[in-house]
Amino acid sequence: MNGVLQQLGVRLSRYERPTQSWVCGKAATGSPCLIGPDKHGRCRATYECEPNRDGERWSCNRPRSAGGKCEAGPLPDGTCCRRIQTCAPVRSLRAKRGQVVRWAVVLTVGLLVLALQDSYVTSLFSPGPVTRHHGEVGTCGNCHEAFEQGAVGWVRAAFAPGDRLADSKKCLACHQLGEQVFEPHGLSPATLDGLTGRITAETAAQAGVAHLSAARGLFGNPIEAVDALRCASCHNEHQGRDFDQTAMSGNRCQSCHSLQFASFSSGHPDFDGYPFGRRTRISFDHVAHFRRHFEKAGPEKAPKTCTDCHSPSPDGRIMVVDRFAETCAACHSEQIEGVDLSGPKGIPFLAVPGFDLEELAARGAAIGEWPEWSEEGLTPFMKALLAQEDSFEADAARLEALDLLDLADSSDADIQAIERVAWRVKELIYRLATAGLEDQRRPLSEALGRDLDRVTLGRLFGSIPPDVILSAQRVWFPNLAEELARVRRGERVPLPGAEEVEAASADVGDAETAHQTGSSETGKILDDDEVLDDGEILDDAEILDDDAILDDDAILDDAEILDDGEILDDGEILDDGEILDDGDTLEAGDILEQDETVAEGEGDILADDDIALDEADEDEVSLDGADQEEAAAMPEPDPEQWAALGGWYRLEFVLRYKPVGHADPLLRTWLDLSGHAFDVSKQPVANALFGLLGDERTPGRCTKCHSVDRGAGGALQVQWQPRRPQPETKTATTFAHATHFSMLHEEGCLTCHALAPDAKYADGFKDHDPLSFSSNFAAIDMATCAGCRVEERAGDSCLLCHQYHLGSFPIRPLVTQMK
Amino acid sequence: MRFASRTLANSAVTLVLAVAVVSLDRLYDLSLRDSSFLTGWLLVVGIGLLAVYNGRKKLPFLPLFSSAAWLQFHIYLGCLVIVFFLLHTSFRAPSGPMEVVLWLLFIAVAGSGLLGLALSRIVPKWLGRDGERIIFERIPVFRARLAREAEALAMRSVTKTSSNTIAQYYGRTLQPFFHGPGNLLAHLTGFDRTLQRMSREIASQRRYLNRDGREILDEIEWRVVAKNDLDREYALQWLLKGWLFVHIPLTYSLILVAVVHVVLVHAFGGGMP
Repeated sequence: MNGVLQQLGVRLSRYERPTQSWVCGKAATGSPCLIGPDKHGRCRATYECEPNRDGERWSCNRPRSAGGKCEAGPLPDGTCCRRIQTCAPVRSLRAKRGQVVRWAVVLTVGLLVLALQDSYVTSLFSPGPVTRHHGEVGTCGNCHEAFEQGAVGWVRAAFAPGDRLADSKKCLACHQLGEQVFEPHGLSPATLDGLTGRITAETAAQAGVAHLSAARGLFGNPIEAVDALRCASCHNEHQGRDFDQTAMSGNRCQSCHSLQFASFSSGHPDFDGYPFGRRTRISFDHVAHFRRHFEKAGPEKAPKTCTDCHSPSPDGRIMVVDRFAETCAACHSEQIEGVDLSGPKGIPFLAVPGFDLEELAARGAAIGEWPEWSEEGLTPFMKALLAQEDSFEADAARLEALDLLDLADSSDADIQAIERVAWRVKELIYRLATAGLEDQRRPLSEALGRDLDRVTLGRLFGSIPPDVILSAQRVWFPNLAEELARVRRGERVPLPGAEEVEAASADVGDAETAHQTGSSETGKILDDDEVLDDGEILDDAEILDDDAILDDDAILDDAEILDDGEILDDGEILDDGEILDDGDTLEAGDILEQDETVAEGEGDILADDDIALDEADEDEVSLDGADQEEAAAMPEPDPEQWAALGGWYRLEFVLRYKPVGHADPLLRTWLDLSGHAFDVSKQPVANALFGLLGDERTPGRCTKCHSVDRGAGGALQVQWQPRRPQPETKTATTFAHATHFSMLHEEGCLTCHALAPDAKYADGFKDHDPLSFSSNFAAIDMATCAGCRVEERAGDSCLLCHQYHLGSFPIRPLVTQMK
Repeated sequence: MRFASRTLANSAVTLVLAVAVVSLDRLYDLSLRDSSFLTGWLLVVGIGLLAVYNGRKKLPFLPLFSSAAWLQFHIYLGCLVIVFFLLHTSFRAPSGPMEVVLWLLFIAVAGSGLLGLALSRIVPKWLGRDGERIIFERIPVFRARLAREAEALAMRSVTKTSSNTIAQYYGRTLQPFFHGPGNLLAHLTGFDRTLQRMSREIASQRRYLNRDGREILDEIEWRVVAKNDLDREYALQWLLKGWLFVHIPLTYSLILVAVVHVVLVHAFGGGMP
């Protein structure tokens, strides 16, 4: 034994074919045949050799590797004498491996097909659990547009996608992120371009960040490279129940930005005025208050710390200004109440315009009876209520160009305009007194450019009682109903004086009647049973004021009026305005009703009963003693004093409204509506209204502290509230005050907010542009934040201070159908 | 090119490519795109190219570089694909059932490939270390021949020594030993003590035999040693071929599941990339 098993050589060993699929079944026993099975695994064994024929002889041809020539040799017919027993071929190792491959393929395909069954597809093909926030989403189809299309649809969706935003739009079913959610930051391209341009212009050029520049160079700006951003650009799902979908690297945030930098402490642009993006909504000059006003107010009223006026909002993000009653009221309530105003404390709402009645009478103007001594003009409220009447605006504009108390130079057209306006005013007062406030909904809605609901309409009229209007009407236009009836019948109703003149010209014998004057009007009042029965009217100062007005020398000089000379002789009494205004003096009206008293006490004044009250009147007016005593007991209040707490009151020829205090709903509503309609070219009525109410000297003095911003289209908006938390509004910066309290130094708020004593704070409120301003405080210095905002400490991720989705996103309303 | 320098050059190229792909992945992510699509497609292409190697072996007549060159390409591309895979999966296991299957399949295929690479580097050094290097397909032939010869020697010992000591020992112990491959696991693990045990047993038989008997026993012992070597060769060569029973079938499964995965991620990818 030579110790060698294997001999290699063409003649010494057989050729092995391991790549063949089948091998001889006897190979495992060490005696495979030479020919082996065919490719289908069939045994091909016959004999050990195929003998060669050499002439007449057959010789064995068995190869040497199989043992060489056998001893017996071929049979006479040339057949090998060693027949091979057939076998059952077996697969080669390679073939067995192929068989395993086939089984693996079949098994895999089978499992995939099984997984495609409806009952398994959701659970098996899900790439992982969704976050807890999306735990109740349900099936895949609620988020994936292609899911319902089945397997074939998936292939189509994968390689021939239609709407690439289809899945993202499904997100919007729950997440309301504005109309332009797929634009960067949800901003319009124009807005974004503006911001980019501004930041680029304001920031000095600096070297880019290598990897960001490389990404931009290789793949372009994401905004430009794709038609729109998708939700999945930043938010990944199926990453586990507790996965933070909002997490994002700062570098990814910067991928779109023109200005790129390495970190907050290296390259972040300066804060540029942060946090002051606009002027304060409430005009409050901190510096002036700290240095002057608080000293004057004294320690009892002045706050001692910042937190006396400011508190953290519930979410801790901003420091809000506390309520008016807790902050400003101590010093500013009296200003709202008009204590420091020299004139009337109320806002003129309804007024009787004053006219040059003498001229009107001379020119034959037919405006009916009209209070002689009014010097008022049309109020903006009246213009608003009358704005929709035919030709009113043109007439009112014409009147504004005139001196209504001296119409000597007026044209006939002016007189006609005055006539029309006068009757409009009377119609208005009549309607207000008779039809109620609801009747004013349409004209006011049209004048203010929006449909007014009942609540708003009620606020606009401040719940004015009907008696206030009726009382004014009875004083100003006691025969209003009769006059309007005549006008409606097509009659001309001239001024009472002119009417008497006309009557005199028709019947010159009746000279006494023809020379009736304003005092005669009083006589008419007295003629009226109903009016005479009304003690209030007789007591009313306005009527007596008319008498008082008769003190005017010019009228007293009038011979015709001098018929009442006896009445007006007592200049001391009638000239004394205080006495006339005084209720006690008004009791003098009662004197008019008491012949005895008048005769005994002031015989010179009312000695002539025929003048003061004719006989018939005397009979009608005669009051029993009890009534006289009751009337005498009613004092006449001073309207300004009476309305000291606010509300409606009438003073002479004006019906006024005095604000009831801070946040008066009537003023606020008028300011809101007129500001909304404020437009120089289209809404002159609204402009006039806002001009009156928006003047910081107007009673209520709203705009002294509440700034007015100009909005789109020129509309004005009064900022009623200081900055308040707006959970629905997402801003670019998300600083939270409360979480930083523990880091403040002993300077407290001044640690970050340094006063800017030289800033022209008040100048920022001279116009309606909230973006043109100077803050009382210096902008936050970046160094204030840089100490902590580094990776090693609090981190410097963009998302620590910024958020992506900007805009106002209301919470989805909860809709519950009532059964 | 020497093996070491070739390995070094190929490794350097692979490393450079890996760094490039990692960088590309990061930059792609920075551009607000889902980098898993980038690494995913690199994976798909990489796996496809790796799978082509098996096809290339079935088409030996095509002039598409040598099989050795393909093997080098297969090995280093395989390493690169593992980098793609780690980037694609963010170095963590997925949680979806199908994703887990895919992840496990890749781990199995890549693992078996690395194992095969290691075996192809280590095992050949062990082959023939204690005997002849025998062609795998011929091992059964030689094993049968050794069995026949041992049986003949045992039969001859009866007539020549007039003793059945060897024959009884053969029938009791040696015949099962020569019957087929044995102790494969022991040979693979290197803890095979069969030969030492049988050598001791054969040595213990010697004192009962005369000179002729001992000569015959020496002949038988040589065949026992040869048979043991054959078993070891068989175990090691089977190992060299056996890992492909994992690597190749699972590659096909991996490709099939990966195709479905590609369809799903594109259909449900939220419009990405």
